[in-house]
Amino acid sequence: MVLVPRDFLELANQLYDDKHYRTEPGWRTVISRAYYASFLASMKKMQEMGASFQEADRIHRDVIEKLKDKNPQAANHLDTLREKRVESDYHLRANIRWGDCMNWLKLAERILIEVAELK
Amino acid sequence: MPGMSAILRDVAALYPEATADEISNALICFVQSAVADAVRHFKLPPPKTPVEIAMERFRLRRFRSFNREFFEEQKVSHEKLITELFDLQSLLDGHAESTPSIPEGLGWIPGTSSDSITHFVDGYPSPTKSPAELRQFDLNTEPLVLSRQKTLPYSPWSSELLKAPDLRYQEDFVYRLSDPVYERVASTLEVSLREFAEKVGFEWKFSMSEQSDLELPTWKRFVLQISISAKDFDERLRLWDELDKAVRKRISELAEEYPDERAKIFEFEKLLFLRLEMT
Repeated sequence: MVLVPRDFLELANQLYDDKHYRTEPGWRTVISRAYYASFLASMKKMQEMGASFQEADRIHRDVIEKLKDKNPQAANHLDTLREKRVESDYHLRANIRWGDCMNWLKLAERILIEVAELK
Repeated sequence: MPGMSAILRDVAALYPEATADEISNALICFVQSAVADAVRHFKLPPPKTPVEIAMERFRLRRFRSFNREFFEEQKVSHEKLITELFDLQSLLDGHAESTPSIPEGLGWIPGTSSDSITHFVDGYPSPTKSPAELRQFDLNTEPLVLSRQKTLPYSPWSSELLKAPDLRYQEDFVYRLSDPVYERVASTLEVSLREFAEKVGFEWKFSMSEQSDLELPTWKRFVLQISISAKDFDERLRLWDELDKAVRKRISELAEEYPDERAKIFEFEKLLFLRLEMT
């Protein structure tokens, strides 16, 4: 079975709802999976629209910039979610709260919709 | 120029039926009106824009610490004076008070702005009324209170009145402002943000910075961090998107207006991201 980007968002939602993961590492993982769902969906859509992403080390930048050419607002959303993902992954002193995760999940959901609607 | 005693005698001669209290009340009215007029006509310096404030902060960093402290003290005391004068002018112009302590008497007998004592004597309901009745007249007169004055949003003395959008430039962006193109873009951005915030309402805070990416340090972005007081998530997202459209439209218009700077303006726009605080 081939994974689709939305699978990561569903996992993020499950983690969010699962009381066994109501810990900070769990919430950080929720945000990270939500970002990757959005990022992968954006990359896939850009590729379908003719873009190619050669350089692995700058692929996140290239996807966000390509998305910006198509829909600057969606690019803002993805960039904001990415910034939170970076904070969640690297900044262990950052205050990541369960109560905020719902907004990040909603934002990821919004990006998936925006990307799907791109023509 | 005649002295005050001579003027008083002249006024008393013009109104022989007026009592000493009435004449003295008229004199008080005159003095207060004259002082109020003088304050009203003070030309206050225009409020500083966020760009100017940021540039000033930037310049201050070059001063020696002693000079810097001296300059900062002077600045604080100057701004305090301006704030007080602005509040006083606003009050004298009939606007609602911003603090509970109005200087008593200022702005009484609304509509009177004459610079002559005789006018105040004329203005009494009747010269035959007693001083107590005259005082009652003053107390019962409804003050003229207009809606809050709309003023420029930058100054410390007006931001409290209007809850104007708060825009700050972070240190990592300030040095860009020494470039006239960026300075122009920043000014345009300010206008755009202010107009949008005033149009849609809510409380807004903006912070402009230049950021490197942790995973890709060569990737520089101009980040406009946004905070909105709206509670509903969908509403906040909608405003975020609308603001982004408004800002980019304004930047495009600026590029049209300054064709020689077009490339640089678009470079800024390309690197500009608006981020919303999600908490």
